[in-house]
Amino acid sequence: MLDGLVNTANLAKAFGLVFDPKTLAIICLSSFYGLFFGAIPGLTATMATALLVPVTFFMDPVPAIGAIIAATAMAIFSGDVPGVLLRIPGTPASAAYTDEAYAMTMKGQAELALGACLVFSVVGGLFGALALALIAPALAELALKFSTFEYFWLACLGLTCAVFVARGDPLKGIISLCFGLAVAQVGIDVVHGTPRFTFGSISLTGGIDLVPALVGFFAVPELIRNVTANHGRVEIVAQNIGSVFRGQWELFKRYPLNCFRGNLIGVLIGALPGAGADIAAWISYAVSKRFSKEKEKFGTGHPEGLVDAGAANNSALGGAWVPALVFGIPGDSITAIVIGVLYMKGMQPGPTVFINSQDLVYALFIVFFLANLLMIPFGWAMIKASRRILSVPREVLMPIILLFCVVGSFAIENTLFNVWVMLAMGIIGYLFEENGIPTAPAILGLVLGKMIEENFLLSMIKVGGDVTGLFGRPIGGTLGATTLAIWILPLAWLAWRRLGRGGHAT
Amino acid sequence: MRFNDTVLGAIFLALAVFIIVSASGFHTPPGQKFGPGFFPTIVASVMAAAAIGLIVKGLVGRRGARLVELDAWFSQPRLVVQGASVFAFLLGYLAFSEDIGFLIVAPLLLWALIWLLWGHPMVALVIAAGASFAIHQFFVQVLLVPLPWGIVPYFKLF
Repeated sequence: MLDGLVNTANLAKAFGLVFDPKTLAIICLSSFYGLFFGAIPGLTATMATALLVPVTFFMDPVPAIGAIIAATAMAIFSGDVPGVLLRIPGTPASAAYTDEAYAMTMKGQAELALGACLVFSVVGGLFGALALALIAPALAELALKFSTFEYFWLACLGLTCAVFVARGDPLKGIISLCFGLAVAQVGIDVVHGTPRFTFGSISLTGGIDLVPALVGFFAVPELIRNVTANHGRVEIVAQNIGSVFRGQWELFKRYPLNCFRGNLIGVLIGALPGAGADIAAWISYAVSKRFSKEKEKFGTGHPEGLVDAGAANNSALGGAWVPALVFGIPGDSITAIVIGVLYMKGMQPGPTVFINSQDLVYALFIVFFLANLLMIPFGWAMIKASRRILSVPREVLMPIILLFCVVGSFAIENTLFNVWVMLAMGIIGYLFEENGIPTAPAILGLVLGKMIEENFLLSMIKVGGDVTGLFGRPIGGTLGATTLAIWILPLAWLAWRRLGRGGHAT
Repeated sequence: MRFNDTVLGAIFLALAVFIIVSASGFHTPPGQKFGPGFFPTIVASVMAAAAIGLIVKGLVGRRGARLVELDAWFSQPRLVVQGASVFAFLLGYLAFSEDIGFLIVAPLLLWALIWLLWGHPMVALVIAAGASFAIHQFFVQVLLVPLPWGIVPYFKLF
């Protein structure tokens, strides 16, 4: 059982799993893949993950998960590099401080900026890994007491968060979420065995496969946007890049609080369902400016905000894994994909994974630390090679990625039907983004839809169809009341404000 | 393609109504309160409520706004062709890969797309052939995915 003590036999086994030569090779290769994807503007960490899934499908659990962890950690760091050199963020997670970093480059401090991005990414990543390794097992112990009632409410709470933290119109967030939930219902219903929304198609009875849906939703819209945009030739203004580690220790000594604060904000925002590295970076950059003693220097090439936000976006990755692993509720869109992978690998996320597959969970933690340590040499090499990497023509890359999307979607079940699914979801994803409908809630709905319905119906069968039974257990009741409060309070507040305003007008 | 909130709301309202109507036809097993149609109905009801909210917001907010607005790239023929080429690539693969085979269809489509976007037809041909072959070998040899052979005779390099 979970007694808070580390099981050394399983830990040794986990080290064996991670330090297997084949696994190490896969982790290194995915690191390069992540570094490359992150550095090319228009290719995001989420897209890198979505395109890795068809490949990880054929791997053992540890290399599969290791590949995703390494690729995402590297991609979030390397997204900073084109920000510093070209003023174009490589991934959305770097957008918060791209202007600041580029201003440093213009001041002739490109090395300091690149170094800060690397060093504080590593620090943030390690902090996120530590938080994951400490918090997740403790939470899992609590979650062992959960039954279908608690899981139902927890999933509702997670989806609610996803709607509220999504940027833009909350109405559109709700619609996006419902769309994802509706797509999850296509196919044979898990509880009753009735085919739903299959339109007589045999291919649809198995439901919409998650992988082609993810590839379509995350990769195709980016590809369309890339080929329909006018790219000018980009010029790298930076001088030759020398030693990037010079001056970093001084920076750390000057801003220790910023670094810690960035780490903490990253983990917390990451753990919140629906919000990931990009929102963590925006918030911690804003917090850094708000509490800085030298506010006026922000925007002029001042490294303080880089320390905060550079750490935050990497620690958010570890934070997002906490609810994903313990409850099966993703903290961001990357872990939404990861949950799909965990299911495919027979590692059903939830507290029991900490008992049944303790060695795999330990291995996952080790990979997290390892990937962030590998970031020091690999990141350094990436910075040195950045000039070359950034000059790879995007017009050549995009078609190759498109072919990879096709083959990856096909590979899961070896059917062309999944390529159609990818195409359809790609068009929907593009229209969603064009119309300001956030895509993250839809993916959360798609991943969590079956689980919510199953837990609800099983709970209902347990209590004989009495809805009040959902509130019958102490933890479940509290979670349920909290969820309902979050749903009702904003509406009540809105109504009260409207009425109040109406009263004034008359 | 950007829709006015009212149009967007109407689209999702129609989808929600479709789901509710379809779900009402699902058979609930005797003796159970909640059948297979229950959950879809709830989800679609929430979607319908949000969609109505969006319709109202569109009507109140921007009176006289255009119902559908095309993206800026629609006014540039070159970009329209480039955007359409992504779909042509996918449809071309869907139509021909099974009968003709991955090793012929993929390099041709890739060549055409790189040529169109980047130029340099000869270099594009080499890149397209190389990339297609590498992806083919990776999936067929390493991941054991049966990519369609079509009219190409089966071979094994390693």
